[in-house]
Amino acid sequence: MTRYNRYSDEELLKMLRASDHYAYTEIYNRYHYMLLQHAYTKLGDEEQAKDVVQELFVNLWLRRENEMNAANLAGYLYKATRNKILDIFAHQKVRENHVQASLNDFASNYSYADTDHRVLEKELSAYIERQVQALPRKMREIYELSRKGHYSHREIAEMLNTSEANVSKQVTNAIRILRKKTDTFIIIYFIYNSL
Amino acid sequence: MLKRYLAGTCTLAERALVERWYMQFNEDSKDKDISEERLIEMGKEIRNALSLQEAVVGTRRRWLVRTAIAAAVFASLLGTIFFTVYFPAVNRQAARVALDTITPIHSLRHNTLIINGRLQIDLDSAGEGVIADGNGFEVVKLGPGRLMYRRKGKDLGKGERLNHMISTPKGSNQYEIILSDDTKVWLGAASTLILSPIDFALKRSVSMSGEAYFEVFKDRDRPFSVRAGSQHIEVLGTHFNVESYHERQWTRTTLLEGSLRIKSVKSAILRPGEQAESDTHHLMVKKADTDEVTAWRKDEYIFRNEQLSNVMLKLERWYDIDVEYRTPDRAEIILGGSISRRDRLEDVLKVLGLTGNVNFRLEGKKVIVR
Repeated sequence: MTRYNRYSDEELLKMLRASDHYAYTEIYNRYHYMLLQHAYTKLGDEEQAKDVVQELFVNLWLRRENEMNAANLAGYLYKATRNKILDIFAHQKVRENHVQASLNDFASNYSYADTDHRVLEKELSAYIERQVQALPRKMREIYELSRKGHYSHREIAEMLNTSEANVSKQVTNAIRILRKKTDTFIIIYFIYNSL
Repeated sequence: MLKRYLAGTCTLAERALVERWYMQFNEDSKDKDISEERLIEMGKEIRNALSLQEAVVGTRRRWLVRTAIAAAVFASLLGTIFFTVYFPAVNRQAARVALDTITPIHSLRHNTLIINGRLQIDLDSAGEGVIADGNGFEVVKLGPGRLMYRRKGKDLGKGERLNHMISTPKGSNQYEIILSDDTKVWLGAASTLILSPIDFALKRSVSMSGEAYFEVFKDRDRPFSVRAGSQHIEVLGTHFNVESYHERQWTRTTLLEGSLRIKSVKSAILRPGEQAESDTHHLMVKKADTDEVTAWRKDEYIFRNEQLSNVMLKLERWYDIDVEYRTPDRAEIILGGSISRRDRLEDVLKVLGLTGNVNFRLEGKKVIVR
């Protein structure tokens, strides 16, 4: 059971920068299906797709403290994956013809000249959204729940952390107070345990 | 064009073209679909390769806390009262593997500094002031139960490598050691700290067994590491508590402040309030009550949901006794409570025995559990 799935991408990134391994795990849980599916679509090879995603996450951890000023985690992960895949394309002889032909073909029919950064970003977001929608239902839900259903830090603290810490503190205090009041100095309580 | 794109030397128009081409590439291909099962399988393989750490949040905890509150309230109404009992033997497989532990010298009756396994210095009877030195350092006794390492001169790292082992006997009060980097270590009873003072100036690392509380001086350039049982603990500047008894397979590290990395069967990063418990096969991270964990520093012992054998382990060290189990499954009784070191052993045993499920007999320095 993990409560990290309630954190927003931004919060997870902050925690990742502070070397929080759980945040790292949650980012993985949230995005790996999407990225695997995407890498497989482009590469058509399971082993290669797996290697790309694995390397991406290794680098994410290694570079957690510097490179990570990405406001948009999905976009960041997607671009990192894209660069890796394009790199594979550029270095693979076997595939070259197919890829090169496709690129040439695309270029010859390419008409729009809009090179604006923001327009490209928007197209990318729309593309990622389509990718999410194409995921099997359960996997899509992992991503969408985390994106839509997260609570703020404070809310989480109120719901889980603080109250839990307080309850446990109160018990410790209760034991201390009782120690002063009882004659034997010792209180032993036993716990029924049905396990 | 691809190569120029990757090298970052293409025009903006070319860049847009490549990115747009990439988005549509293979999207309509027939063999692009991969089954859900394969995706899950691949995800698992990567997960294993990355040795990811899931956050563990105890689900039994709240329930336990509620029980404890009920118990405390009930007890306060009636004075001194005990609940009855339960306890199916929890089957814990004892992993029998040689641990990287330090075996304390049980015959010691005093706090002792042993240098290179030969020279023994009785820290209790030694006078205050410098009691040992070497190239670049000296050891100063500051008072009863307080020892300090400090740097001297500049010829660090030269000369004979010395191995210093500070051991506290059973029944000892906590012993404070200030290391040459201003890190403070408090050793519990029957515990041992090992360091090489010359190496320490270059690489902050120590080994320990028993129980110790660390306040590590912050030095970003030189991480501080502790080797204890099945764990290798790495920090920059933090407060944390380590329990690693050679009688037990487990080692428990609890973080109070800062952050901390543990290397064991796998690695984990602790956040404040978390505890890593490991043996030679498992590492589990859970929430811990830091007040409970550090109560020993105030000569108190608060325990909850703890096995009798672990409770007795503490009593052995505090009261300098040995425990023998005549009925083995008694060792696995789970209980909670609070004991002060000021309590007489006889009283502690009497109350523990009042549960009716376990019987103690004190024979000299030996406690027999039945």
